[in-house]
Amino acid sequence: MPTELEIRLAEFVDRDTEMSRFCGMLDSGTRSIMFVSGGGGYGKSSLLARMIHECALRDLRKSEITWSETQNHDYLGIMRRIRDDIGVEYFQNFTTVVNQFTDPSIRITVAANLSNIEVAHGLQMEGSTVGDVGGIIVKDNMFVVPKGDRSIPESERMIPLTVAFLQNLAAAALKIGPIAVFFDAVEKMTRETSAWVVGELFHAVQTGTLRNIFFVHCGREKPIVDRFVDSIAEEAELGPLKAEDIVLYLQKRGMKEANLDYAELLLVATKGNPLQIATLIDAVMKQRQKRT
Amino acid sequence: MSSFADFQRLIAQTTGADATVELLLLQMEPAAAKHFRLCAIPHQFDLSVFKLLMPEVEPVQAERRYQEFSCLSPVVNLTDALTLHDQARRFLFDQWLKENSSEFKMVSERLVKHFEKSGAVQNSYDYAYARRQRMFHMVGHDQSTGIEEFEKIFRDERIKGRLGECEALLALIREYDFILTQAHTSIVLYHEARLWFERRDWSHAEKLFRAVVAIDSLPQSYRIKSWNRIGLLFAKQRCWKDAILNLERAVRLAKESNDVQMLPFALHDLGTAYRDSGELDRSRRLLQESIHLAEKMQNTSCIAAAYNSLGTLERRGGDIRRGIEHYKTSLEYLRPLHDHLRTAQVYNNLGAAYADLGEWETSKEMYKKSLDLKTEAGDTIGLARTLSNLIPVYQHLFRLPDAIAAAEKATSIFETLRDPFSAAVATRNLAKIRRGTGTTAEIRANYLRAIELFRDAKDYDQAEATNKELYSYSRPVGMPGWYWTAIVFLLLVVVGFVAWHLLTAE
Repeated sequence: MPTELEIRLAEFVDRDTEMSRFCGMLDSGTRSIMFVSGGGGYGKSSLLARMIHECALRDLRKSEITWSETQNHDYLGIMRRIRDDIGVEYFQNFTTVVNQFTDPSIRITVAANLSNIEVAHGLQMEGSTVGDVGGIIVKDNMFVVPKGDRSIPESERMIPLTVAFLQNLAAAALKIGPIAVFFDAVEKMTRETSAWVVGELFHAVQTGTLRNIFFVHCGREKPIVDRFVDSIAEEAELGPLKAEDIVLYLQKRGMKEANLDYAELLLVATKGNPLQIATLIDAVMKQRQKRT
Repeated sequence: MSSFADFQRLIAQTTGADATVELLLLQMEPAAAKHFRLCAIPHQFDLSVFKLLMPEVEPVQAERRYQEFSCLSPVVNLTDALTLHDQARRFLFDQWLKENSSEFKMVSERLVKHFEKSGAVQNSYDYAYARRQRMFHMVGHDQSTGIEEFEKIFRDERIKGRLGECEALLALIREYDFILTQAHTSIVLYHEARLWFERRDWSHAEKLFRAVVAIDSLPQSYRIKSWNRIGLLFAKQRCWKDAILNLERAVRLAKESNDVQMLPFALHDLGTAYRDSGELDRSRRLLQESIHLAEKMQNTSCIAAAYNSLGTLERRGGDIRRGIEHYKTSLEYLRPLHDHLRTAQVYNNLGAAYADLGEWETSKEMYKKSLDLKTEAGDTIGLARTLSNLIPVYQHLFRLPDAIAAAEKATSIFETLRDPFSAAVATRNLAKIRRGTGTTAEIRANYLRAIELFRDAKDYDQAEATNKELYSYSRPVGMPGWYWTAIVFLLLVVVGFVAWHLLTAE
């Protein structure tokens, strides 16, 4: 029996241009970021699901992060999620720094050069010490709240954590091959998180600190980026479905009789919004079920 | 009847974006439609939350319905839960708010209890999620308690500097805009203004605070806080006249309404504004009044802050010993609060005061205490600042290797934390210290790096000044040409004079 995702993927119509751009990005490697934008219900998440499926077919490592009112990932949440999706074993230094900043039982050791933060010698963790980690994976204690002191600006925690994360991510991508990272519903990101994504992650790609990593950024609008980031980015603005795509969709949903007359009616009622079309077809199906 | 005619008739019923959901509900059996509408109350629902929404439904039937809903187009499948698509949820949630029915309140209450029971470990992601969800549904169940809970969480996040979390909380509470009382709306707006204050966007924060004070039903304590904040945002911009005007308004209102909680803080903030604008006597009176009132209220935190401010005031007035006494009193009050960050700041001030007196050994001890506490608190930028302060102390104690080590460490931290201006100053200081002991290559490298950092910080004047310093250092030691010409000329004059003297003597 096909899964709900498989059914949705099979019903996918149009968006071939966007998909070929995405595949081209993976093949050539000349561009590393794709901005997908479009209004509510225009099928951004469906397109993303198809891209993720493409990555699975190509056997690429991937990470998927979706924002919602309740899952509002901050910069630390994003880094932890990418680490967990890619493989915690590649992010030991980052995890150690995270624990230093968030776990009240761990004392921070500030080294002269924070880009190589000195691991807290003597720290007891999983029956071992960080000083002799060799092969043991450092466990993230997954605290969200920083230590009890007041007023240490988030930006001060952010930089050493980001530096450690980018170093580990860059090394992981060199070791395991291309990685794809998908951000969905980014319009729900907070101002601070959005600034971090553009200013740290995308900047690292643009400057070459991160290689072999592809980002797909999906939201209502394209973020404001400088021309340097723009030069390595693909853009895809999703528009309304066309009549012929609607006919194809109706047929895939089991309305074999559907033709351009049906499509024209739907276009007038929904202005080609894919979600509204799909919801209307749900209603049609319900009506038909009632009758039978 | 043809299927196209049916289709046409059905489509004719849709007008507007939300009509498609309405139409879908019309085609569902009434019980299913009611259950679908209930799904819009939580942000997302797994099977356990789904069952909670409709306790009267048999578990097996609920599971079947959950499965059925998961295949509908306006339903988004998450990894372990379902959620309605944004537009559909917004439309149905607004309908609940407009009805404001007892059913909505009852469902909200059940959700409050559900998230209350969450056994998540404190400080974990699950705990933060459950706490926010509990707050959200509390607003639906009991608005006043919900708003109180919102304020508590918002304050916690703000104090920890997690401004993104504050923004996310505001987005959650805004979903209730339609039913919030005017007083609650004004409180939410006050917190939004505070967020922009923390983001240091002074003009936007001021605009929002002014909108807050314009609301008639704003509770008086928030009116006082808002005027106080308007004053503080002017103080942050060093606009003392406007700062004092608004801070005085806050003090006047606090006195009129006998707000003994807020008054000591308002007096303190006004006192520091007068101090920084140069009116030391008036500042001293206000800070003492603040201490007096805070003592009555046993507000230890305010007393500690006021003594620290008094210490700085006395230092500025030249009475450094008195300043030191006040700093020490501040430390006494901070001790039971276990506030490492502020304690470290007071020790830093003590270090500076002893340096003013030329008591270098004591100054070094105070700075060291500050360093230890800042390391403990993870205050890395504070650490770098104290290390910078330690440099002249080590120089006066003739401990040049320690001065160089402190400067190198401070430079490295400033650079890592991307504060190019502070890094540039520290690197230039490092070059100056090394002029006594270092190699030419080291000194030149430090100067060049400082110039580069000043340029990164876009301070081109300082970059130029540093360049001149480097030039004066690099130029080979020697006397200028005109100097040699003058010496030769003088020698000729002397020789001529002696020769003439000898000749005339014969």
